[in-house]
Amino acid sequence: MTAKEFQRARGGGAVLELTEVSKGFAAPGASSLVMAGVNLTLGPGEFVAITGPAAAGKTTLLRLMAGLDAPTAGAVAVAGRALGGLGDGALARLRLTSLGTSLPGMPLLESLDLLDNVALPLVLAGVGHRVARAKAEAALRELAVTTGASLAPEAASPSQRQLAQVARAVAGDAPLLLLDEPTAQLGPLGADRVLRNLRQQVEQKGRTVVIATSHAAVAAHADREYRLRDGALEEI
Amino acid sequence: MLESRHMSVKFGLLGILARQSQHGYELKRSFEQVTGGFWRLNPGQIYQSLDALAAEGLVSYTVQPLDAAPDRKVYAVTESGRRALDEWLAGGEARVRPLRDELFVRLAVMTDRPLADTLALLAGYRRSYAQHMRELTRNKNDLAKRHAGPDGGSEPLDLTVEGLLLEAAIYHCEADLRWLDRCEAVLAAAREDVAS
Repeated sequence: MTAKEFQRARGGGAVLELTEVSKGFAAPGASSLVMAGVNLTLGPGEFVAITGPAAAGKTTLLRLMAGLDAPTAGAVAVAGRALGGLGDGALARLRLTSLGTSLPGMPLLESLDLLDNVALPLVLAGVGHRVARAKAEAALRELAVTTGASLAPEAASPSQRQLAQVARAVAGDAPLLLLDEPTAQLGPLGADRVLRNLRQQVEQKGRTVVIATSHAAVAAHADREYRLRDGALEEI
Repeated sequence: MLESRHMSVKFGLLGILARQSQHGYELKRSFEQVTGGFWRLNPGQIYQSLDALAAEGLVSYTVQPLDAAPDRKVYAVTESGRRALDEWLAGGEARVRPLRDELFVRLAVMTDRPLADTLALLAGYRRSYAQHMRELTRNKNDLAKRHAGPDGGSEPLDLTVEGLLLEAAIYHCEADLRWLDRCEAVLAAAREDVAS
């Protein structure tokens, strides 16, 4: 039974589906393919790590999953909706409701303090201000950011900024969380806290979590590991 | 190496008995628990070590009759056992763990084989280590979950040490995986050199 058939059999739709996804970048005089023919189907409550050597394309893969980049060929679907067919507005709405992300290229806004940064996607998704701030506060508290929530990102430490980015990803009710190196700026205790929090998101809320990391100790917190190497994705 | 492992088991059992008298099966469980679940003992090793400790006069035992099962021996540490344990804990040089691994020997005698075979061997090891590391990480998280007090209070020292031992196993595993990454990268580069 394939993973997809298994999903159908247990009645849960795929939260994330990559079908024959390839991605290339045009270079002067040539084009290079970062990945080719990648397939991946994840259902609710899965916790997966994408690993691989530096520059293997881990971040690129996460950006494709988030609809921040479009694949050169193939299709990406989130919560049953193909990203390829969506206009900018629809894609933005889908991201707000279905995706919690901590990815390069999506920095915290300097004009807002950490708390409002965490609350912002909720507010944009239509949650009332007060509720959004309460949820943001709870998410920060669970990651042990008790002091510093009122700091501007610039004034916060690198670890506080990273924790705020993780809090921003988990604060809403999105079924799919995508995080790139979510512990890179943290010490061992902070890293444990983030990874256990992600585990709770999976076990208590049935969310699907995908992390990209080049650290084996971080990847070991996931239930399954997929390694990206020479443009192919292989479960190990 | 073998000698040092044997001594570790012997004095590990003595150390457990110094806290509380136990019978053989309890000792097996206690030993495995205090060493974070990654040092498994078979019953033969336990009873062999206990016989040796009794012969040296470091432990004594009383026979406890049971109704529904064969009688069992409950072991206790003797005075000279306590002295021997104190000496072991205080003495001895700190030795660096020797690096001996079947994979090293396999790699060393594989240099005249096709590189693809070596890379496949490394991939197999990577899978095993990654799996083992997930298991250790699960154990560590379970331990943290079991002992997180409602007030977030501090853990008893035993549990802290159990967690640290699990982390030692995780760090070793991580080092092995990093080294496998390095092997794979260097050997793949060598293959490209040969091909060009």
